[in-house]
Amino acid sequence: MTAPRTLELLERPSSGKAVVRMTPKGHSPVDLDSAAPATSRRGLIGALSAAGIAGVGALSIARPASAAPPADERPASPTEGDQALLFEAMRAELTAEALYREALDAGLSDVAGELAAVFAENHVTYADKIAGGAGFSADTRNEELFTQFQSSFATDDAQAFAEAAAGLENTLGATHTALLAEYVSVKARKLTASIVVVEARMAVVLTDLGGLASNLDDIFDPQAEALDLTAGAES
Amino acid sequence: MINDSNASASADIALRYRRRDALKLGGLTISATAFLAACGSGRGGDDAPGRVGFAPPIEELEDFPIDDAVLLRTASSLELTAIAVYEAVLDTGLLDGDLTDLVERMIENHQMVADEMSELTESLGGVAWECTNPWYMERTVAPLLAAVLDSDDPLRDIINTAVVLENIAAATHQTLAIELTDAEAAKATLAAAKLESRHSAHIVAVARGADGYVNPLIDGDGDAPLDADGVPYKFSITNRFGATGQVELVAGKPNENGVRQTFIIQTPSLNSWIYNELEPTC
Repeated sequence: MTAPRTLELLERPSSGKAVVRMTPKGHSPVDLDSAAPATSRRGLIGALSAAGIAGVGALSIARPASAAPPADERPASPTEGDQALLFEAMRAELTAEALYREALDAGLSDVAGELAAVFAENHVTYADKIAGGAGFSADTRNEELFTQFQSSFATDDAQAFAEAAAGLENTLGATHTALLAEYVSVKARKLTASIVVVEARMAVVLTDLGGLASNLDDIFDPQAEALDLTAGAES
Repeated sequence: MINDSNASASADIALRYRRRDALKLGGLTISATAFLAACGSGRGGDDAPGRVGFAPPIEELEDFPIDDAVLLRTASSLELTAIAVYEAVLDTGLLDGDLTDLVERMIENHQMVADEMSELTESLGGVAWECTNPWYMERTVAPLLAAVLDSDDPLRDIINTAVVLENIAAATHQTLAIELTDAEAAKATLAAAKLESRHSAHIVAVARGADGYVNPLIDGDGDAPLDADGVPYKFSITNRFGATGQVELVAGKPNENGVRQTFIIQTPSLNSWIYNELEPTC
């Protein structure tokens, strides 16, 4: 137990009251130094003159801030060229959605059916997002691509579906990757990058569902050719 | 009378001086004010918070530029960090044959991507980075591995760590594919993002089968489903779009209150870029 602290009465004046002593605690932590006061009119004039000279000096050496990194000169929104490519990418996504609906209409069920429903929703969401970003309506699919895959999707067999769908996802992934280098705008790249990574995941899930992989190459390095969408974009 | 006259003259002289001085002073003040006012805008003064006490002055950090080479060097560093983690995992001896094959293959893939990023760095005039990322190693990997090795279920934590690591690597490459100004480098990083997304999805498929295919909360509603130990499940597909936000990983054994450590892992930023000025750490 420690003794209570007592108030130190340093001296007792004749009044009998305690006095308060201002005990220095070392250097004040607050910087109270101020500029030297102008002690005379001459000093004040001198100070004003010095301020004027300093102003001239400051003006002569002032430069705009140039340390900031150079601004990204790429356009934020899709250019005309980007829009043409994005339109084709959007059509491919709508086609993928239609193909998954084909599988569901053919009676695909259980885990495969659940995947088909989720993946159809994914693809129509991508089409909507691309269309919204590029400024057109998501209402046209790629009939040539649809015809190419339609018969293989129109099945209720999980393995056959998985094989067809994994092929489609790998193809779409390769296509988006090829298109990425063609895009000029940040938005086009951003959309593409955020779509393609999920399409890669969808392909892996479908490969697992169908038991399609004989080795890890089939999963990590699938052979898929990109669709040539630039022809459509140029027409 | 004489005294009064002298006093009056002295007062007049003093008054004249005061007026003259006042005119001088006023003129100088007005001219100096006008001059300073003409010196341009932005004269609001320092708006930084005041400094109190004897703290040393704040040392301004160097404002190093972030160019394509920095982004690619950082990509290399993350690939090599992933390899370091997987090698530590292999050293535990906890993985069975299939998982060992998978991890060895992922090490190969990460090395391949690291090499590609190094080549691209040099092609853009930079110096290839061949070390792990010191910031991630110190702040994330070391404490995370310690928690995993001390866990009540190390295999679960190893798998979850691998999934999160691949997700962050994929998210990083996804971001770089947007930020890189060089189109070929952007394409290469997008390919890497795809590959690492495949890693993540496959790890979950191997570990959880069909139950782990798609997060039931893919639209972002609700809380993450938890396993019997209260650890969030991992999924092959978590979001409709590739996410680049921070990732949470629960790992390690519970403390006396039953709470496990949560590690928050983010894609690289100012602290973890491998700037061109950074000397190799290996």
